[in-house]
Amino acid sequence: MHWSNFPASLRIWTIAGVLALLICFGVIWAQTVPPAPNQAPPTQTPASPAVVTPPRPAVMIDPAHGGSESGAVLSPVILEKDVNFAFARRLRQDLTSRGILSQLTREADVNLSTDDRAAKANAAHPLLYICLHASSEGGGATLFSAILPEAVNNNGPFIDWNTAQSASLAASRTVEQQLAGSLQRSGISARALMAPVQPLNSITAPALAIEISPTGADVSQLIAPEFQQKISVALANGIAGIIPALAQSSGAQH
Amino acid sequence: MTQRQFFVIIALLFALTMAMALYVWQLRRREWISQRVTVSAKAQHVAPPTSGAKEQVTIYVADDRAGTLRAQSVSVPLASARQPRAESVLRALINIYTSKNSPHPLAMGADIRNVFLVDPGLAVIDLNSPFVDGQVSGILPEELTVASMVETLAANIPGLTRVKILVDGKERSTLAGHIDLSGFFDVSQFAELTKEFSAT
Repeated sequence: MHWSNFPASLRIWTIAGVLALLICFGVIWAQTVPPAPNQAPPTQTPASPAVVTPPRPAVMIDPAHGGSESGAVLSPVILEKDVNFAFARRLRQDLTSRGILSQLTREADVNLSTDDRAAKANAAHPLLYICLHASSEGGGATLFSAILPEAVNNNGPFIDWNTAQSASLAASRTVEQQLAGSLQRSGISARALMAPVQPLNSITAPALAIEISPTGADVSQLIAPEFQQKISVALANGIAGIIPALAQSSGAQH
Repeated sequence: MTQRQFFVIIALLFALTMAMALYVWQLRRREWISQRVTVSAKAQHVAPPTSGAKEQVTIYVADDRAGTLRAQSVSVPLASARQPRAESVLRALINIYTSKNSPHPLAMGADIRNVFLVDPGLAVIDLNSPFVDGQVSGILPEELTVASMVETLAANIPGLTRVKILVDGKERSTLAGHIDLSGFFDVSQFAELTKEFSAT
């Protein structure tokens, strides 16, 4: 049987198959044949590490709730988890524009337990941890530092999970007062309180929970870009002012 | 299939989609309203016990709008025993919260099931489910609820050092998604907190 007697479609498929096989062989050959002796050695120096360590974030921002856990149902169409996430991204942007590296604990609408959030934050060793919440009540911004249970003797390499915040609690309260002051100077009603809210107790860095709330009865203010922007800018300015002191204190501890 | 039949099918599908969207929206709205105002079929107005002589007691009443906790004097029929006394003062507080135009609204039917006083210095408050189902979610509103109960008990039960909150007799992780109920509330820490709430 002659090649020219083959149907045209069969000929095209045969040529395509042969070409595909040739490409496969070429790729395999290129990967298995050692380089020629006169080739230049790779430029990578033996001392350079194989894994690039990501830079340490100065601020870990934790948008509370997420996934099936919606948090407060502020209205039929406004869920707390969405407000928190939008506000967290805005705050990250405002911190980045001030040269402060920050990271979110979640980058999507996913479930994350409070223990997972604490583990993630502690592993990143940030200078400051901020957990964001939203509520229908409060009239501005309310900042919360941890209320710790009875002190546990944290001697040795391991520290108690439920009181891990104890070493940073004084710093947390100082930061809380400074950020509340920064918000007030921007014309935002702000209060500094304490609250038993997870995962603050398990964070090894200065840690705060910040709850934003509308100034009146209209909860739709929480999703208004200008409202979020005003609070975010004031917080970013406040954080920019305290980061050098936190970095110094963190350096002294290590 | 003719062009006319095609358009009829598309129109029918569109109408069906719209109807389903409307239905889902109504379901969500209904669910939201029921969450805000949980009216249990078995809900009854909580009334303080009539036994015992009336006494003036101090209760700490939360105000959501102002974000404050204020001491208020009320007259409540009280028993002499500590446990019913603790229940009476808490019920007097909850009566204010479930009343019309409450400064810190709780759902109708919100109540305490029991208060257990365990020596030394521990009070265990057992809440019912309408109480937590109707609680406004948020760190501040939830903390105001807890602080008002802890402070009210501490003001009327001498020697109290710790308070534990259960719901329907069981441990619960949070009150309404925020305030941690897994541990014990230290009365001295809440006294400090009450000063901050009252200072505003």
